[in-house]
Amino acid sequence: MGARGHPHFHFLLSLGVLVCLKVAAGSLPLASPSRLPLQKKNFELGQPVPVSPEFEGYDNEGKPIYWDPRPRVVPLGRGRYAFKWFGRKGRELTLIYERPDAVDVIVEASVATSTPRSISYLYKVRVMDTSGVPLIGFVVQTFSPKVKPVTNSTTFAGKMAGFIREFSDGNWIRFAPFGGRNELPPGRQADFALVSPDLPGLVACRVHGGSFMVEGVGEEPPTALENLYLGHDAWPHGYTIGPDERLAKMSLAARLKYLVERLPQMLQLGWIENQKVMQWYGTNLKAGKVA
Amino acid sequence: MPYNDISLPWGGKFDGNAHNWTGGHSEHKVGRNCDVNVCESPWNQTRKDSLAQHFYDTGAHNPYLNECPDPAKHTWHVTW
Repeated sequence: MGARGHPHFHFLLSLGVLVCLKVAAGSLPLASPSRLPLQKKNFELGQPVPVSPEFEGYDNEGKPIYWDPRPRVVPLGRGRYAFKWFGRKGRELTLIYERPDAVDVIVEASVATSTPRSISYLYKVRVMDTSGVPLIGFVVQTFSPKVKPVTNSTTFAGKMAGFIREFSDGNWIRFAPFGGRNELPPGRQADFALVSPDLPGLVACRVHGGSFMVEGVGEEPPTALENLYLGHDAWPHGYTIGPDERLAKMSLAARLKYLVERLPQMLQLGWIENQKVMQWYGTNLKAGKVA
Repeated sequence: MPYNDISLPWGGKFDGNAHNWTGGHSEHKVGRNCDVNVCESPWNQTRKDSLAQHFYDTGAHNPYLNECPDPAKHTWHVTW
């Protein structure tokens, strides 16, 4: 059976049409889609809240031992900070912290069917020149248990733990540059790919940047500084396409409804040029004109 | 691969050896820190990179590596 004979071909085609805007739309003028950088919440990173003097334990006589690290933060610009504290031997120590959200990224996705039951998802992840730090990971949401990331000597792929709130819905795959410095600097692009039998739906994605690992200074940083590490909710967030097993179980009408409901979001994301184009899609999809 | 100085899930030191909660690692008391030693593993760049990647997959922030002249004393300090 060729791709056109595949029962889901028309739906796959219709979503591809919406995402790529490459349909011959009669007299409707279409421009190239304008993808937006992933969005940020811009959490503030201020000075550490003193936890000091930190309780270290008890001496042999049962007296409490305290340690006052006197932590402070010195902003270095472009998402980098010097975390400073006084170590247990009284020496001032410094580690460089890089915000995970100081990376500006545009994600461009495409799908291709190599066989009727194998859909390839390709993600072009571009780190914009405006980024203050390199990219160290790209995470894409799927709603499919049958996902096979494509890895090689320069690409790592793993599964994000579902107990993390931001990655609890679906099956999130994390891709990362691997080897060398394990990072993708500003101005560079990486291609990540996965294969799944499931159809493309609208899914979320996140990226994180900064130092792949922190070079230690002999002592571990105090709690007051570790409390400043930004969480996963700070990772830049956006939408793309990814495999969704739920689509195969839907009727054609339900799939069209799925698309129509997401048109405003696609407009907001810049995947659809303007309100007029969105209305054109809405009218045609509601009328069942999908190919 | 040894994991040590892990803090209790809701905070506090894991004092399995009944040392009356003495000793260092005061930062290991908020329920999200652990040290990972590499002394029983062959130490090479690929293994190091792979381990750090898996830390991220499980939700770690800023994997912090103290490397020593003696590879048997390399230690990760990981914050989740």
